[in-house]
Amino acid sequence: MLVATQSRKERAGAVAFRRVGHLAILILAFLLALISYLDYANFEKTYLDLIASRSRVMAEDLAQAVEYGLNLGLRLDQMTQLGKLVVETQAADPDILWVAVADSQDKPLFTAPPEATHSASVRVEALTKSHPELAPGESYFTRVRLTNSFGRDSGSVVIAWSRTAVNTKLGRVAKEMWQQTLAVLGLFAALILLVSFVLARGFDRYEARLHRLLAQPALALDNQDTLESAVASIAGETDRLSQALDARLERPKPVPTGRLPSED
Amino acid sequence: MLTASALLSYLALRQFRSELEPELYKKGQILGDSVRRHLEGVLAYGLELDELRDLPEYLDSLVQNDTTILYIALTTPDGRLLQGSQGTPRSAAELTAVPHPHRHSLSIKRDGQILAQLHLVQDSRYADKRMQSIRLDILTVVAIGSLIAYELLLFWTATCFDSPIRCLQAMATAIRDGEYRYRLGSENKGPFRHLAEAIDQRLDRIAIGFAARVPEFQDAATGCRLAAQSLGPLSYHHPIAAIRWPFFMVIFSDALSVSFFPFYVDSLQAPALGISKEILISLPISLFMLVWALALPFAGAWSDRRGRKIAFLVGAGITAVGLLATAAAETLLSLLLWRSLTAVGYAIVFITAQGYITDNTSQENRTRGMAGFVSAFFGGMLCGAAIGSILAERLGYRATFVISALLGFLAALFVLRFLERGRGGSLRRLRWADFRLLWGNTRFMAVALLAAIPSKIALTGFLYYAVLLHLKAIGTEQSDIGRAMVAYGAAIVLLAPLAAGLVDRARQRSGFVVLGGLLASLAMLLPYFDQSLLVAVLGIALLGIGHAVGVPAQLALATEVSRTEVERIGSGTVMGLFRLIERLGNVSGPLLAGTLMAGWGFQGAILGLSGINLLAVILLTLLLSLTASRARGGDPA
Repeated sequence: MLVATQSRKERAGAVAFRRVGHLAILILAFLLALISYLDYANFEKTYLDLIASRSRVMAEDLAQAVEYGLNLGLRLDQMTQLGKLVVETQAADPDILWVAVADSQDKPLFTAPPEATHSASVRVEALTKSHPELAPGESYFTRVRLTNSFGRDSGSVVIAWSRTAVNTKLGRVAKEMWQQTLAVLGLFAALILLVSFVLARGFDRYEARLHRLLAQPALALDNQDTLESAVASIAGETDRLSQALDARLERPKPVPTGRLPSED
Repeated sequence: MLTASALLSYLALRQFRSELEPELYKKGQILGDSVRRHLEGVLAYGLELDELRDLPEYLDSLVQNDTTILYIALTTPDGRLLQGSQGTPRSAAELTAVPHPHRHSLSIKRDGQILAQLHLVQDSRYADKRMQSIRLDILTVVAIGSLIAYELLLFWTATCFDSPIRCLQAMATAIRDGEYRYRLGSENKGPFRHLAEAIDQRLDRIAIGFAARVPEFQDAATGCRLAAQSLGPLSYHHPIAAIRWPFFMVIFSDALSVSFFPFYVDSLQAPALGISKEILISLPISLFMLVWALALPFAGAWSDRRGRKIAFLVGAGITAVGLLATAAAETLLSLLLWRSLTAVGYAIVFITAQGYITDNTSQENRTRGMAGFVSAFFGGMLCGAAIGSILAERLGYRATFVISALLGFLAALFVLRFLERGRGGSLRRLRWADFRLLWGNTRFMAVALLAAIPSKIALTGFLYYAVLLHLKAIGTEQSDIGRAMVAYGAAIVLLAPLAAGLVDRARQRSGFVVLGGLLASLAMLLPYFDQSLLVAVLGIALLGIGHAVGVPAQLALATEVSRTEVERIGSGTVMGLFRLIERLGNVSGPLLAGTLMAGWGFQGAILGLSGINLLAVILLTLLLSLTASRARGGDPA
C-alpha cells in the first residue's frame, strides 16, 4: 500500500492564515490612520477656530475703545490711554506675540511690546485681507478695521499670535493621537494574529486528518465534508488501483504496443 | 474593525475634551469680560439696567454668533434673575447650579458698587458636538473599509480555499473515471500545498511502478489511464475573484472624483469660447463618456488579441496616468485631453474585465459571473464617491486625484502578480449590417431610444452633474455630497438583484421598464418642489430605485423583442449594439443638463430632464402597445 509522506517543515495552513492576518492588519491600519487623521483635522480646525474667535473678541474690544475716542473727535495719536490698553491686551495671553494699533496708512502708532514695532510695521502693511487671517510667516493675525462716526477708514487693530506656540500644541496633540492609534492598532493586531494562529492550528488539525485519510483509505468518515470525501475517494481509488497493478505486475503479460487486444 | 474604530473614536473624544476645555474657558473669560466692559461703559452714563431696552437683543445676538455659548444672563446682587438671552433658565438657582468651568460670573459695577452679576454659560458638550460633526465621516470610512475588506477576503478565500478544493474535487472525479494522468502540482494550492504534493507523490509511485515501462496506455482490466508523463498540473482559476478585486480598485480610483468633479472643472482656467459656464463644466464629463463609448469596440478587439492580462495592465496603467495628469491640469483644455486619456484606459479595463468573465464562464454560470462584475462596479462607485468626498474636503481635489492614480497603479500591480495570462476571447465584432438589421426592429429601437438613453441621461445629467452643482449651491459640505451620491449606488446594489429575479420570472417585462422610467422622472422632479439636502438625497435614492427596477428589465426586454435578430447575429452582438446606443445617453446627459441649467437654472434643468424622461416613458408605452399585436402575430412564441 502506498503511504503518503510530506514535509512538515513549513505549515502551509499557518502561512495562509498568517497572510490573511497581515492583510487584515493592513486594512485595519489604513482605516485607523484615516480615522485618526479625520479626528486630528477636526481638532485642528476646532482649535484654530477657538483661537481665532477669542482673538477677534479681543481685537474688537480694543477697536471699540479706539472708536469711542475717534467718535469724540480725537485723532489716534492723541489717545494717550491707548498705549496702556494695547499693553493690557498683549499681556492677556502669553501666546500673543504683539498687538498694534495702526493709522489709515497702516503705520503702527501703538505697539506692545515695544521691541515688536519693526515687525508690526512690516506685517500690518502686508495684511490686506480681512481677519481672521492665516498669513505666512511665524504668526497668525487678526485684524479689525477702525472706522470713525462718518464711516471713514481710520486705521486698524492687529493682533499677532505665535504660530510656533499654536503649532507646538497641535504637534503634541497629533503625536498623542498617533500614539493612541498605534496602541489601538497594536492591540487589535495582536488579537488578529491570535485569531489567525488559532484558525491555523484548527486548519492544521484538519489537514492532518486529510493526510491520515490519504494514508489509510479505510478510515471511516464521520461527516459529509466534500473535501474529505474527495480525498477519501482519491485514497481509495489509488489504493485499489495500486493493489490491482501490484497483482498484475506479479503475473506480467506482454504488452508490446501499450494496447490490449480487447481494444482493437 | 468596528470595535477598533469605536475605541479610537472614544480615545479621541477624551483627548478632544481635555485639550479644548482650557481653550473654551479662556474664550469664555475674554467674552465675559468684553460684555462686562461694554455694559459698564453704558451704565457709566447713569442709566439703570432695566432701562436698557435692547439688552435682551444684544445678549441674543452674542449667543447666536457664538456656538460655544449656551446663554448669557444678568442677576441682581441678591440672586434674582434680571435679564437673559434665549435659552436662559427661568430660575436663578438653575443658572448658578451650572458648574464653574462652564459658567463665568462677573460683577458689573458702577463707582465701585455692584449693580448686577453677569453669568456667561458655555456649552459643556461643545467638544462632543464638534466630534459629532465628523461622526458621519468616520461611519462612512468604517463602512467603506468593511466593504473593501469584504472584497479582499472574497479574493483570498477564493484563491486560497475555493480554487484548491475545486482542484482536489476535480482530481477525485478524474480518478473515479480512471484518469490517472493528471497531477495537482503545488502551485496555487495555498494551504493545501502539502496535501496536493502527497497526492501527486502517490500517483507518481503508481505511474513509476507500472506505466513507466511504456509511455502511455489504457489498461482494459482496471479501466485506468496511466502515463509516465503527467498531463500537467490541474489548476482552477477563480474567474470572478481574480478579476473582481483589481476591477473594483480601478472603478474605485476613478469614482473618488465623481462627487466633486464639476467643482474641480469650475476651478480651472476656461478659454473664452462664448459658451456658458454650465456647459463648459459639463464638457469634460460628456467627453469622458464619449471617448469611453467610442473606445470600447476597439479596446475589446485589442483585448481579445493581446490577452486579458496585458490588456488590463495597460488599461489600468493608462487610467492611472490619466488621473495623475488630471491632478496636474491647469486649464480646461488640458483637462479635456487628460480625461480623454483616462476614458481610454477605463474603456480597456471595463471591456477586459467583462471579457475575462465571458472567457472563464460557461453559459450556466455566466449570469453569476456578470452579477459579480456589476456588483464590483457599483461597489467601487459607491465606495469611491463616499471616500473621495471626504478626502477632497480635507486634502483638496488635486491630492485626491493623485491618490486615485496611485490606486490605479496598485490595481495594475495586482493584476501583474495574480491574474493568469489567459487567452483572449473570440467575440463576434460589430458590423454596420447588424445595426441596420436592428434599426428595422421598431420595438428594439423603442427600448433603446426611449428607455435606455433616458436612463443614462438621468444618470449622467442629473446625478453626475446637475444635482452636484445644486447641492454645492445650497451650501452642502463636500463629504455630505459624496454620501448623498452613495444613496444611488446603495439602492442599485441592494435592489438590483431582487428586481432582476422578479424580471426573470415576470411575463410583462415592459411593465418594469415603464415603472422604472416613471420612478426616475419622479426622482428628478422631487428637488423642484423642495431644494433641501434631504429631498435631494430622496431624489437620488429614488433614481437608484427606478434604475434598479428598470435597467435590468430594459436588457431583458431588448432581448425579448429582438428574438429574430438574436437568432441571426447572436445575443452578444444585439446586446453590444444596445449598449452602444445606450451610451449616447451617457454622452448627452451632462451637455443637456448644462444647457438647461444655463438657460433656466437648476429648477428648469431638472424639470426639463424629468419631462424628457416622462415623455420617453409615455412614447415607449404607446409604441409597445401599438406594436404588441404585430409582434404577437409575427412571433407565435
